[in-house]
Amino acid sequence: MAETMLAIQRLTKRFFRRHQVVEVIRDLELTVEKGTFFTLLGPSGCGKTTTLRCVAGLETPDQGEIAVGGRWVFRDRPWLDVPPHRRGIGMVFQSYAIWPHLSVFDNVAYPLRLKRPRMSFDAIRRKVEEALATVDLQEWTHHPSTLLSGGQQQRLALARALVSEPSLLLLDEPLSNLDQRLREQLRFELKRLQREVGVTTLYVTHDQHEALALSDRVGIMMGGRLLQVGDPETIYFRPASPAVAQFLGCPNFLEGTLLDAAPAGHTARLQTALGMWRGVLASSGQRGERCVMAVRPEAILRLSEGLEAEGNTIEAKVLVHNFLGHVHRYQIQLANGPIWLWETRERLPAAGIIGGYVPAQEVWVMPDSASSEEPAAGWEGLKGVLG
Amino acid sequence: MRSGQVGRLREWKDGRGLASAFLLVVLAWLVLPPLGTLIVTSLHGTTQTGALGRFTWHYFASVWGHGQMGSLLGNTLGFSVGSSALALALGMVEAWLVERTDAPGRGLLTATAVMSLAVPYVLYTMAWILVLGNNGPFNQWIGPWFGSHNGRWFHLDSLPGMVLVEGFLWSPLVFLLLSSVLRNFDPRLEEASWMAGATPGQTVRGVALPILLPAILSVALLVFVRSFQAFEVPALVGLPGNVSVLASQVYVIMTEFAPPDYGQASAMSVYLLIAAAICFALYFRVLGTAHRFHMVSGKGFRHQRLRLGPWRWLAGLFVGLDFAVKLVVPLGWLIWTAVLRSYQLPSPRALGDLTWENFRSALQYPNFTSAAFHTLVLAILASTAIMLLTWVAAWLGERSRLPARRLVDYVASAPLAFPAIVLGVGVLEFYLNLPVPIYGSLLILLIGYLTLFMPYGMRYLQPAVMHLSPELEEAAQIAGASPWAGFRGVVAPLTRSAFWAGWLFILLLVARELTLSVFLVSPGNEVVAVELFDLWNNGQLGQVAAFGVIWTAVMTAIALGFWSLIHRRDIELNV
Ligand SMILES: Nc1ncnc2c1ncn2[C@@H]1O[C@H](COP(=O)(O)OP(=O)(O)OP(=O)(O)O)[C@@H](O)[C@H]1O
Ligand SMILES: [Mg+2]
Repeated sequence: MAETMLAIQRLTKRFFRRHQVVEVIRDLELTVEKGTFFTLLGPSGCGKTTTLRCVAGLETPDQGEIAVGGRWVFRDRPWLDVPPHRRGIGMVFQSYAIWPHLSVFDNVAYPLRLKRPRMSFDAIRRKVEEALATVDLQEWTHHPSTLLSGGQQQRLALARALVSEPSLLLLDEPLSNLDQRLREQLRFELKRLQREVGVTTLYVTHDQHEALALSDRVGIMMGGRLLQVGDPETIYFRPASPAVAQFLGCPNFLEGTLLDAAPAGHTARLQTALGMWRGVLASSGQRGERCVMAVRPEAILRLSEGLEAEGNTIEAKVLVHNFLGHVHRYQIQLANGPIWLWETRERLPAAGIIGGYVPAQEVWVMPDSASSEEPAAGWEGLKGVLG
Repeated sequence: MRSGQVGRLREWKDGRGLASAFLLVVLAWLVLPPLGTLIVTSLHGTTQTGALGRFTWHYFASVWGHGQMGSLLGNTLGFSVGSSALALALGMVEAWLVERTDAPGRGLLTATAVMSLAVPYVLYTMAWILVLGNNGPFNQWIGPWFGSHNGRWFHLDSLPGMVLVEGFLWSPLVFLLLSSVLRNFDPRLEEASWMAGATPGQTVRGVALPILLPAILSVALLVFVRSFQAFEVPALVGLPGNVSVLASQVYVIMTEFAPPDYGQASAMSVYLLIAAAICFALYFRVLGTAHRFHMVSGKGFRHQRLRLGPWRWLAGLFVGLDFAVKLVVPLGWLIWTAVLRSYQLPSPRALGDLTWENFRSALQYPNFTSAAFHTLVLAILASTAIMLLTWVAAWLGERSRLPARRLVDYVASAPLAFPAIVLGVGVLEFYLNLPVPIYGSLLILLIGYLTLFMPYGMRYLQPAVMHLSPELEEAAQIAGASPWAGFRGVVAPLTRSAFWAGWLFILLLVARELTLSVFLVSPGNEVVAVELFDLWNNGQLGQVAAFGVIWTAVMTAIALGFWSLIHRRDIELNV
């Protein structure tokens, strides 16, 4: 088994808000293996930043254990709380927190100057220049840091976090302050850099594209809990619950009742409001069980005139049309059914009924939402990693 | 364990807990003994030997005895309502002209305001007495036109006279405060109202005034409390005409007999203190509303100036008159007095009497030189100590989770409600009876200034620390800095300009201070304002004026430095 760099167990954090206790993180369990890029993905306010700050030591958890690189940094029983400046972690803040009174060089040199025993002046200069070269800022070395643009500030923050070679790098939505184009460019940069340096990274974002593009593993967080952990493709194509599917940009759901019993990963038939459908089971199901099917907008195919499909068909009217460039996106009203999204490269007629169908292997069947609050089947229990 | 307690544990370990405790002890030592002594003395009085007498309500009751309290309260109220209304009216018009119109010569008003930070109030008051008093040009030249030849056409030593001078004294500060309120008012709010179809008049009534009202009200209250406690004008203008207010009455009681009736003075001080505390409670309530409207934070916006058109010249006339009346006339008259062998009205004959003699003798007069030296030393010591203490206090107050942080804030801000005269009585009574020889030394003045001006340090540094993103400091901690190293490496350098602004401001406050010092000074530790006050009472006009002019020149340089600093660095003015 690969070496564990970060292990979090039973992490709970409460805040007081207007004389009321709010549990922002609930019994969170998480491990990140050495050298991997792990992303916490979740909607605004679900506790991602708080989790990150607990790891960094900027918040004190109410309960739980956190270990970094096999060393406890926080433990509730017996009490142990290592202050942030002794945790040996690097962090990039959402605002970058570039110190405006220091030059680019001094920003990066600051962590090195605090090291004991003291580093020599030359060693500091070498390391700073190396770090600035890694993020391609060497020409700016002696400029005031306030002259940097948003993207440059982000890279400077990264250089500052990496210069003391931390065992763990924490990133809190480092791209969210940038414009769309720059964000996509820096996404590549960030991934290249992480590969190059090989630093274990815990990344926080609410942008699913970012999470999918960057990560080795993604943890979906909602309401202070992890709903599912897996690699990006699993999370995307095999969501454990409708909530996860919805958060990853799949708003098309259909309820149905299983007509067959089948194990997980097999195809089964369901009775739905749109007739008989077939889909792949997320977990083993019993005949007669209530299920929810998720259909990705891009998986819907147009049913050409005269062609017949047995089941999995829809009849729809276009409500709204958005042209996105690489695809057209339509909001459609299904005949006696819900409103869905449909993405296709074809231009659909604005009026009249359009036929479509979904191949059975693109229909993902999940147990009904009643049980979706539980940690999903894809969840790998990681207890006992640290003994 | 709850998270709050958990964080505190860490703070005790890294020394922030200890620092809070230390600050609290220092602040409490400054504030509580004078306050306690005052209250105890007001309930006991002192015997001839200086020891406390028996417990009695007599002093509180006797104030009401001969109907004296009624006239005192009436005078005090009339004085402070009148002068704050005058200051507010003047300041409001000035601020509006300067910030929102194209009135010519607007810079003159700003110059007047900056100068007002440099001139000791006692000197400014003297200048007005010279201009408006019985022998001044006003009564001597204008009076005869109206058939008054005895120089008693306008009675300066009356309530209206006091109101006039005090109103002039405070209007520059009202102007400065309201200017910053107007600058920080987001013009988009007004523009949105125009777009909604409102006329400019409706916009002012429906949008601008309701939003600005809390801020204006808070300024009004502040000026009201300040004139309520004011000493210079009541003492110099009012007392000669037998018009007493609470503050000057305390002074009279303290100086009438030797030894003074401490019980009486203390009881009077406690009344004054209670009134001031009520006003300040009100002030902070209103200020809270003002903050809720985001009137106080934020950078200045770029406003459209109102084109006055044909009214422009009327506005220019007002600006010129205002400048002349508030700055040129009093300062000019002071200079005139300073260069005369003996005081007289300007005339061809007087020109033959011009001399530099006063300046020479003022610079050679040992009391003046030692007073200037003492004042500078005290000003530097007090402002340095206050700013260093409040730097740490503001930082702990903003970032720490220890319960002590609130207490530190309260204790450091409490002296705001202390009228200087009350603090003077309290400090005197406490240290006079202490076996250590603090009374009569510079130390007692230093202690007084530290207590009196501590709140200003907080008011300059707190917003600076508050506006600093906590992430800057957290980034330092992640980089390996302990909380203290983070303070030194990040917080301190980034709040440095607020530190220096507060430092210069307190320097100016100490250099002008009279009210507190007047009780604490004895031969050997004299300071400038008190020296001016004493020589004035001795009638040495020429020397007082000459020395005042020199001192004002030095202080003007400091005031200009202060002004350019807060302008360059966008620091909110606090007065
Ligand atoms: N110091 C605090 N005191 C009280 N409540 C807090 C505090 N910090 C965070 N919270 C609350 O905890 C919840 C989680 O906050 P957190 O910042 O972790 O969310 P997030 O997932 O990072 O959201 P976002 O994507 O918006 O950054 C929010 O509801 C927030 O209001
Ligand atoms: Mg966040």
